[in-house]
Parts: sequence; structure tokens; C-alpha cells
Amino acid sequence: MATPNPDTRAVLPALGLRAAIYVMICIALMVIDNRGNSLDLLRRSLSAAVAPIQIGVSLPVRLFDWSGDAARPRADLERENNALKVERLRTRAELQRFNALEAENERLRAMLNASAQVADDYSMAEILAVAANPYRHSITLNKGLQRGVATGQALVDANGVVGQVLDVTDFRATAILITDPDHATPVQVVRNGLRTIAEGTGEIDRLDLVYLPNSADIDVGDVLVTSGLGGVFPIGYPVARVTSIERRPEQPFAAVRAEPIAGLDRIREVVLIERAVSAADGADRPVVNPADE
Amino acid sequence: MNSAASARSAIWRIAGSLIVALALTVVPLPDFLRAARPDWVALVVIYWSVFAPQRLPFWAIALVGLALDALYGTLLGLHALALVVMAFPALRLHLQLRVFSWAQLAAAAVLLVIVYEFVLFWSNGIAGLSTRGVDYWLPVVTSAVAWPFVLYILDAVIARDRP
Repeated sequence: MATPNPDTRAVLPALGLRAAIYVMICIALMVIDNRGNSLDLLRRSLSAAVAPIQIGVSLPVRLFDWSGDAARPRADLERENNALKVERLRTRAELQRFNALEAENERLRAMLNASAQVADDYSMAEILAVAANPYRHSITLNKGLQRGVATGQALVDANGVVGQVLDVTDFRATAILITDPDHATPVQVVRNGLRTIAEGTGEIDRLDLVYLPNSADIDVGDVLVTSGLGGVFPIGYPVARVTSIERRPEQPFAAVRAEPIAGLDRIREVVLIERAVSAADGADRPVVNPADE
Repeated sequence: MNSAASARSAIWRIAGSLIVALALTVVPLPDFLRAARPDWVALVVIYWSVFAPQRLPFWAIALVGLALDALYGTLLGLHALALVVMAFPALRLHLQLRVFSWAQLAAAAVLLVIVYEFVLFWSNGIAGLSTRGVDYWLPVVTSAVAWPFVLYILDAVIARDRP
């Protein structure tokens, strides 16, 4: 086994040179990729090339889900169906009230001459894969350019904000979660309208509220909703609930932590918000775009 | 088996093992295990760099690194750079590494994984991406644990090539 191979020996002298060339190519790629979108085509074709791996890996999980459904007794399904019908009725009733409120709100706003808020449109997407890297909280969705997904679109689940779309290819989209260390969500406290920023920490169940002075009027349990500033997230979607506040007299800012309301580590599908763009928000850029920063 | 056919089958085996390693890097894991995922691709690249250096050119290593970048959604070239930097000493010293005892070879593999992780850590730092916490280095430990399995399995794969 240890016999030197003739062609190995012939190749060896140039090894260092070739390694250096490839190191330089890689560094050049990184620099170019860090500065803009000129490598989109390469990135797209690579994503397409590795897509079968992603699909193959997520297949057993999906098969398991499906077989679980297929093997369930009829009575179970009927019970679930009934429960869903009741639930639907209840939500529809609530929605009626909501519609009335919305109409009223619209009227009041019109009276105040404020810009009208345009209703958002929704579409569903399934989560294909979750980033393997514990320091990137990102997910891959099963819809892409073909279905009108666009960079910067906000994602929510049934309870709250999930994240925003970062990168779109023809059939896939990559989204960054609000807990990614490079993501910041402009939020405000429901109770009093206090504005702040919820930064991701890299932990799936924790956001940090930065730049809140020690005297800020904030309590444990306060609900934070999107403030609509920054132009990515539409206003008023629940983001997180404050879990702990540490007022530090020796520091300029208090250490405030919050827990995302959306079940970031449990969701299987998300709702994409298609914003009807109103004249009020010109900004269409993600607040923090890690690919560009 | 003639040499052209054996070369072809060796290339298929290398490609196959690299694809399996790529798949293992994206297999869903529970949250507490995610930080501890071994660097499967790095381990497989180390193995082939030592035992089949002439069949693993730099462009192939860089391509696997780019595939990792696409899977992870990192800067294009980041993992490619780390793999190339890591593979260079392995390729350069493959003859020495081959005559190492299994313990020495394992130590060398762990060193190479540290080099790989360090390049990632360092380039992430330069690109301004945060990598916090001591558990960033957890994959080095789990890769050390995983190395004997990689060695055993790929030895079995390669053994079918020998008469």
C-alpha cells in the first residue's frame, strides 16, 4: 500500500503551487460573493446541484409523516376533522369581527387623512430543510421565483413572525429566521408602543432587545409586535414575548431578553406575506442582509 | 480488472462517499445535537487525500467545498477554501501518513479537522459573521469520535478494489 505511485511522484512538485492557486480562487470567490450578486448564476446552479441531496435527506421524515397519517384509524381522523370544523367556525366568527374592525379602522384613518393600510395577501410554503449550521438559522422553502417568491418577503406562522426570504432560486427560497445572529427585527411593545430592535442570538428560543435604557417602561410578559419600520415586516405581527429584564445601573442599556412567539423549531410550513406595497413604504430592503454585510 | 476500469470504479467510490458525507451534513438532527455534528466531508476528504491522492484533484475538493457552501448558505468559496487548505498537508504528507499507526493517523486527522475549522472560523471573522461560543469547536471532538468509523467504512469500500 505504501508503494509510491509513479504518477503521484510526478505530480508532487507542483502540489504547493496548485494549492496556492485554488486558495486564491476561493478567496476571490468569497470577496466577490461578499460584495454583490454577481455570482448568482453560480450559486443557483450549485443550489440546483445539491437539491437532490436535500430532498433525499428530507424524504424519510416526510415519508414518516405521511405513513403516520395513512395508518391512523378512521375514528381518529373523524374526530380531528370535527375539531377542525369547530375551530374553523370559531375563527370565521372572529374574522367577521375583525373585518368589521378593519373597516372601522379604515374609516377612522380616512378621517384622520392617514395613508390607508393595504391588506396583505398570503401564500403557504413548506419547509424543505433547516440549515445544518447551528450558527445560521435559515430554512429552505419549496417555492421560488416560479411561484412569485421575492427576496425580502416576510414569513409568519400561525402565531407570529418567523423570518424573511434571503435568497430565491427558480424552485427554492432560502429564508433567515429572526433568531439568526445576523438578523434584527424592528419591533414595538404592544402595551405602550415603545420601539426597539429584537436581535437574533443564535439560540432558537431567545431574542435580545438592544438599546433599551434602564429606565425603559418594559415588563416581563410584554408582547412585541413588528413596528413596520424598515419596510420588510408589515406592521402588527406578533414577534416575541419578554422573558427577562436585567436593569444594570452601571451600563447604559438594560439587558432584555425575549422569546419568539412563532414555534421556530417546530414549524413545518410557513405563510409568506405578499405585501400590497403602499406609497408609505419606499424601503424594500431587508434590515440586515447577512449576504451583503 | 484492467486499470482503466479500476480507476473508474475508484472515482465512483470517492464521489459516492463524498455525496454520502454531504447528505450526512444536512440530515436533520435535534437541536441540541446540531452543534455537535462531525465534519463528515472533511473526514472523507482527509481519508481520500491520504489513501488515493492521485484520484482527488484540488478542483474536486474545491467543488465539494462549493457544494457545502450551497448547502449551508455560506459565502461561496468559504468551505472550499477550508477544505483545500486542510487537504494540502494531507496530500503532501500522504506517504508518511499511510505508515502511521492508527492512533497517529487519528491524531493527524484531528489536527487537520482543527485546521479546517480554524480556517472557517477565521474567514467568518474577516467577513464579519459572528461565530460565538465554545461549542463552535465541538465538531472537532465529535469528528475525532467519528474518524475511526470513517476509516473502517472507507477501508472496507477500498478493500473491494484490491485483488
